[in-house]
Amino acid sequence: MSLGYIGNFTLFIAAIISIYGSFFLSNKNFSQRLNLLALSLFISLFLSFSTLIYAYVVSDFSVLNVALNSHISKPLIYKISGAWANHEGSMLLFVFLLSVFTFLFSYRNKNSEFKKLIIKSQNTIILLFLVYILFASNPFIVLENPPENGQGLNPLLQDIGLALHPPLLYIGYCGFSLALSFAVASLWQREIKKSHAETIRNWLLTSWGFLTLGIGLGSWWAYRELGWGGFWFWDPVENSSLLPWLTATALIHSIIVTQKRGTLKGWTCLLSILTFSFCIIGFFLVRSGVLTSVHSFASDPGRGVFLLLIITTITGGSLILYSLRSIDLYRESEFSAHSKEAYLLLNNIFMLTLCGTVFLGTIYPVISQIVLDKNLSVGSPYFNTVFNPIAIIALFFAAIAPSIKWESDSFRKSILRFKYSAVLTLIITAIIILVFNSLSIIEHSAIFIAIWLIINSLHSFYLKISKIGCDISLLSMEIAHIGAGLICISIAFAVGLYEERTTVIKKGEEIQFTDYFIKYNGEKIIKSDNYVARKAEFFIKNSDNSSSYRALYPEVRYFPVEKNRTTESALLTNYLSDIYIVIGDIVDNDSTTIRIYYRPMINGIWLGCILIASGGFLFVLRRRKV
Amino acid sequence: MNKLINFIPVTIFTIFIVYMAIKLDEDKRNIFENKNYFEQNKLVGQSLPKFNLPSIHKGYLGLNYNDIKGRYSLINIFASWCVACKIEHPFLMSLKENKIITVYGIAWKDKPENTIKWLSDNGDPYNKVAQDYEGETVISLGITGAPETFLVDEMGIIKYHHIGPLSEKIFNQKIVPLIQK
Repeated sequence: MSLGYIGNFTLFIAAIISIYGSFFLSNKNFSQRLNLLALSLFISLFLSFSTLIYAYVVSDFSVLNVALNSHISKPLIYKISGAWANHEGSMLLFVFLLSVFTFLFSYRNKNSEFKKLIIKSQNTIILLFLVYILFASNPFIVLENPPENGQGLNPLLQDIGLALHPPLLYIGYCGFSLALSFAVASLWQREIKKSHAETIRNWLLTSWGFLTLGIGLGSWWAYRELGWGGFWFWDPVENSSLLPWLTATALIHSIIVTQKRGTLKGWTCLLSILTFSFCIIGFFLVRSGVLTSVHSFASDPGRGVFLLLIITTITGGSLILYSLRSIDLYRESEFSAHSKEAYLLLNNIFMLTLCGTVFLGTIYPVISQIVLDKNLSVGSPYFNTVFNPIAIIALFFAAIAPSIKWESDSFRKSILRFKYSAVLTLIITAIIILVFNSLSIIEHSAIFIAIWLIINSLHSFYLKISKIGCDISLLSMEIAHIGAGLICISIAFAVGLYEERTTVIKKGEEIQFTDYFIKYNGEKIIKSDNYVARKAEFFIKNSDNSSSYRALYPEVRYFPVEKNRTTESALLTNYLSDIYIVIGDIVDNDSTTIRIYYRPMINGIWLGCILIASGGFLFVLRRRKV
Repeated sequence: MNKLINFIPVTIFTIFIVYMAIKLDEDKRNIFENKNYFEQNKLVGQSLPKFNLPSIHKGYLGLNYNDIKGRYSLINIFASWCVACKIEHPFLMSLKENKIITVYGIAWKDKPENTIKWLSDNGDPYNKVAQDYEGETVISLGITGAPETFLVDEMGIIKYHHIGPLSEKIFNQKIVPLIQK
């Protein structure tokens, strides 16, 4: 009896429950059973997902998905993560997480018409994806004659960072389904109550935190594993995760205004719809084959059509509702051109602009192919030139807005609040520019803005602590902003002071690279379970003679079964900076090509991501009302 | 706020959907016509590259590129570990049973004993089966996976290259017309 039959059965049950939840909740009786509905949907999808995981763990190759993506000799942890590392499995994870959020939301909220509308909306979304999974993307297809072993032993996918990356991202994506449902429910009822905004805000921040971590993890993984020294390639898959992050960042700010002042309601609804829409549009872009990418899943236009229909239904339906009813969301207060609301509205515009530039750059190849019949690709130069300056300017205002009053604030008075921080920022920036005189104008600006943001956040930190005492959960905004500033300044240094050298090195030779002496001691051949590797030995030491030699072991691994090879770079981390060695081809008996990178402050990027996510989570976990 | 501004998002969205739908339609047509994005198969119209592969059976004659001349035939790249090969297998058997066309098999990256067992369990549709354990020879045929099938004419010229499982539909629509010319 194949596990595939059990899996299909559970999916079928889940589909029935979600049909109930989508269409039969008008009956007054059912409104009282919302929690039961959410629970049963969660249980059936939990069983579904567990069945898939179990099939991988026991290597049940009668399930086609397992046969294609797993292998008996895979380590257990990668068997498990293999379940979601393929298209069908990851769609199942996505739907399962949707049901988790639906269930949690249901249990944490008292029954009401608003809650009922949200549950209805969630069920509809889940139903659409379940139909897709059952008919076009089923992980539980059964093989009548199962093979003895599976085909899936790609070494590049056997990595712990890559194993965690999809779940983190999907927790973010699925949480934002609640945002879309919130928008749809509010538009349907033609109102947004402040209490509703307050409720959704926690869900938004949780999802946003996970999405931030997911993106950061992906970037960190790419940096360590791909061996090119880069951390962001403006690849369509990366961009697909950045787009919802940008609208979500706007959303978490916009909803503050809606919650506290009852304005920007239309914006909050629109951003809620757009965030989840970008999540599912991202699915479409990377899985349908319209864009080819370094990490596309198996591209399949047939699959793409189905996904496009789902997106049209969910996004199109929500946007039509928005077009017709957003003017019914009445403004509860007014604000002047110089007020906190105005700055947050400006932030919405900035984030949407950034989103637009990334989106346009990502789909431009498709448009040019249809309209101009040319095969173009859009790369880093476009994105960096357009995105970075706008992002930097937005961060400038992020430092100012927290100190501006609601409703109306005097422009003159507010400027004076920044006199000390401005001077301090200018001094520190001037010192840095003088010391590191090889930086460009845009890097100078980035450093200035980053320090401006960090200093003003620390100032706000200090003011809050002196007023209300040290409660770190109330400092979530400052922590997140400091994280953003840290990312900004780290990128400026990592890119501006980046050094790289490709050279041939002989055994016993020592070369100097930036502040380091690097000595090559030859290489050994080592054997492991499923690979053979060239393992090179390097000794590296700082030229100030204060530290001793440390050993680095970059490798090139050959996987005979898959006829594949991977390079394992060796990293030396010094505070936040990295020295990175990758070995290339052997030149002769005792020489090899190597490439060395120097990435100053690069670990500040990942640290910044953690700070940002922490800020989000801290707010949700706070004990006092803000 | 003008009501019309609120319709901008849905308008932009509609334009996006339309573009994507057009692109998907194009992609579908390209795949049906067997056009790859990455490269057109340069081998169609060329002679078979010179190769000489051993048989899977010890002591038997292998497959030489000269053997594949004199009449239209198919070369099928397969393996015992290849799941999709099982899908096309019944059709290959029917080609043999109905004596429609000669099919030569090349077992790719497969241990001979596994190939032999697979053929004895499922049936052997091939006139001859050779092995390419390392996969080096089939690289010259531009193989990137299994199963793949080539139509070769009586002069040894490659007339058609199909990637993926072969089906009766594809055989009738794509291969038969080329033979009948």
